[in-house]
Amino acid sequence: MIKESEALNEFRNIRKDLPEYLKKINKPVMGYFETYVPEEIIYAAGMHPLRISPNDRQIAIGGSKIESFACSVSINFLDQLLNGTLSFLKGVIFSRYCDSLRAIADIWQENAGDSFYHFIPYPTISTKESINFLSDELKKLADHISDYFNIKIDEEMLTEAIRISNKKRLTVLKFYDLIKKEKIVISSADFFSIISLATIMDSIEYTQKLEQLMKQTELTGNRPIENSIKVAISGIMLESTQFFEIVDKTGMRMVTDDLMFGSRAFKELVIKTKEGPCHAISKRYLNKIPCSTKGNIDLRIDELIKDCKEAGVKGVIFYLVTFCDSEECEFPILRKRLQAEGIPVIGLEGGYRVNSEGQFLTRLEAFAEQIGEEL
Amino acid sequence: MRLQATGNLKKLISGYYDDLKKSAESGRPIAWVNVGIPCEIFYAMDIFPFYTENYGAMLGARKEAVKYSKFAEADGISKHTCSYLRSTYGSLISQEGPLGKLPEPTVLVETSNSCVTVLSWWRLIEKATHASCFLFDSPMVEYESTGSHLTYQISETKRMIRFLEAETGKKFDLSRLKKVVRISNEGKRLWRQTMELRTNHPSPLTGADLFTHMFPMVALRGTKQYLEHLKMLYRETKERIDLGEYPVAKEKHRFLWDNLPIWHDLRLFDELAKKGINFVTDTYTQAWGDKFMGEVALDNPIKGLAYYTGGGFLNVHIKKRFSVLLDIIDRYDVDGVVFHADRSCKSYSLIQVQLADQLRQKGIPSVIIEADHNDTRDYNRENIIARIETLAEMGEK
Ligand code: SF4
Ligand code: SF4
Repeated sequence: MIKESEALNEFRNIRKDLPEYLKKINKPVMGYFETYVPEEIIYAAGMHPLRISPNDRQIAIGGSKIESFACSVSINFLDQLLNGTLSFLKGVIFSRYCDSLRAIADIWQENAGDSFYHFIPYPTISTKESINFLSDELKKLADHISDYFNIKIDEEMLTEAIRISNKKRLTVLKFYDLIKKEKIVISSADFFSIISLATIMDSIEYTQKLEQLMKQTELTGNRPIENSIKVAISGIMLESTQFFEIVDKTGMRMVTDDLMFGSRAFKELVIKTKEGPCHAISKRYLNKIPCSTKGNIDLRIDELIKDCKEAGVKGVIFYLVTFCDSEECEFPILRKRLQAEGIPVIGLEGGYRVNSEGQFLTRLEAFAEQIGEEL
Repeated sequence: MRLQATGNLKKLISGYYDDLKKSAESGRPIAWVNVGIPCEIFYAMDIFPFYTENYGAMLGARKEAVKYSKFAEADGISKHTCSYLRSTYGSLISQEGPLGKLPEPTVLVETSNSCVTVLSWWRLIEKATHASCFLFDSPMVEYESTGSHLTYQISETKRMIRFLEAETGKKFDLSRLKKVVRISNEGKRLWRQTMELRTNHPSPLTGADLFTHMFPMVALRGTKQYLEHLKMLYRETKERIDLGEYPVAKEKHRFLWDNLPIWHDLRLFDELAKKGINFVTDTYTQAWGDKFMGEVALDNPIKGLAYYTGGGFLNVHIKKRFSVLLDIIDRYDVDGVVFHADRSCKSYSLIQVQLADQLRQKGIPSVIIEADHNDTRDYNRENIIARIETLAEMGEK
């Protein structure tokens, strides 16, 4: 069994009570919803970049402000924006990530009053021209923040922000690697908590805690959790601790992932270019392993298969948020490719939180049994 | 009295699909494209542009969308995704449809200027056809494409031309493009003038009329037959006014329709017309109007086409959508707005509650009805009619 580390407990507690953690951040907080908004620019402005995640509350006001066929994650986001949950934010930055979030951006623009709002017109492809275009847009974002908050953002600050984000990315990737190599053995729920916090917590604090955790667990010489079946979890916006706990209950253990805020968010680093920091940032974000909303399926699937093989995964759990068109279309392709590689996959569909634990549990138990036998 | 142009439209549509087949037989390149792509470039390069949305709308109008969607659903595609995507993809993989097996594409060309869903649609088509694919990248704009955005759209247009040249062997010739654009411009002018005639009281056209006649605007811009058709449509619409012959003579309510029509039930408009409710304007056909697809300067047609690709109707933000709504409500003397919350089109629909709220603040009544432009399942016609009638009654009070 894993020896509980202090850092692990801290991660767990933060995840359990996010509002409490956010209250303690002593910097102005800027919110965003997906991992294409560059945290570096926000950080360089002396602000805290916060990736907003769906909360556990039942949707109320948001549901009456948008059609019912928007995905529940986006409705939850709208709810949080409209009901005051996010009133501590100094502003919100959007990009066209998907058709639902694009609508949330528009609706919020009309309701945001005087608070800071910015929409990044995001390219979908990576070419010299698109990188230049986004680079200009990122400069506009930096200028907008500077003007609005009367803050100076210069090259030096951007370079420092890049260094901090890169360091965090490298640390996270090392963590993934240690898990793959079973130097660290950790439950799916803990793995999720740690990873999801990388884009929520302060980057420096996060990196330090993660380094601390890795040292401690490396030293304890963990053994694999007995009989656990190694799986990968794929999807886009699956942010329910409960879901990962269910996976653990079935005797499966996530050892790698393909979630929007998971491995895909860390794999590329910002590499210096002669055109300056915004250009370097632009290049990184347009070259990272794409989400299904970016239309380049094969890169994502190739990467997932590579990770599965490296981690010795026995199966993939794909979680689909109902009404998420991009994932709904991508899943059949992904399933075929994984099956062709001999990797079993199960597709589950639901909302932003788990409403029917029993149903998921039964299906996941059956899946665990199936892939367990194939061991 | 029936518009002769409606009879001509049938000829146009069957001619278009005949051309598709002939192109396949003769080896003329065929590009599968989506609506945001400027067809003028394709006609100028002698490449046949096959508009998948048009094909989808045809399946919808024939009430066959569900039949083909089921093939897509059996392949794992969720019922929640766009019904254009499902029905056309289902027809493609089943090799069935009104045209039989669809001719193979030489190339695929998509643009991100209408929705994110289209990217998934094209991935599915790409996997099924193995044709090489070009994505015309078009980030969103607030109101229109200017500055670095326009520069980017121009470079995307040029990149697309290079791709087409490389993949089809066809050469691009600017003087040919200018000729096509000249015809396209003339047709756009006629389209705008025809739309303007709807400001007349009563309107010379019903909602269904203009939706039906969109086809050449989408798929044939720049061709001879397109221009002839639009001339005919304009002439006949004008004649109706001159002769005082109106489709809804006792026009009690002048409504606006927001979003795609319900292709499988265009008769809904006739049904409502019987009650004196006419849809005198809509936002969908305006997407081919001068605010979103106006005439293009002949001295630099690439720049002009790039400008409209970048500022397409679904590529702008809510402030422009709202200002267009207000403008046409005013110009067409609209007394009620029907928002069709189209389950298939999140890109179009998901801001309608907000738009309706903003209209309410200006004292403009509206109603939101839910349906799907192609999928007939879960369609509740009675409920929709009742809700639109309630909107009409509100106005009477
Ligand atoms: S779950 Fe899908 S549709 Fe919903 S916000 Fe995320 S990407 Fe968009
Ligand atoms: S989602 Fe809407 S814009 Fe996109 S392809 Fe479907 S109907 Fe067209």
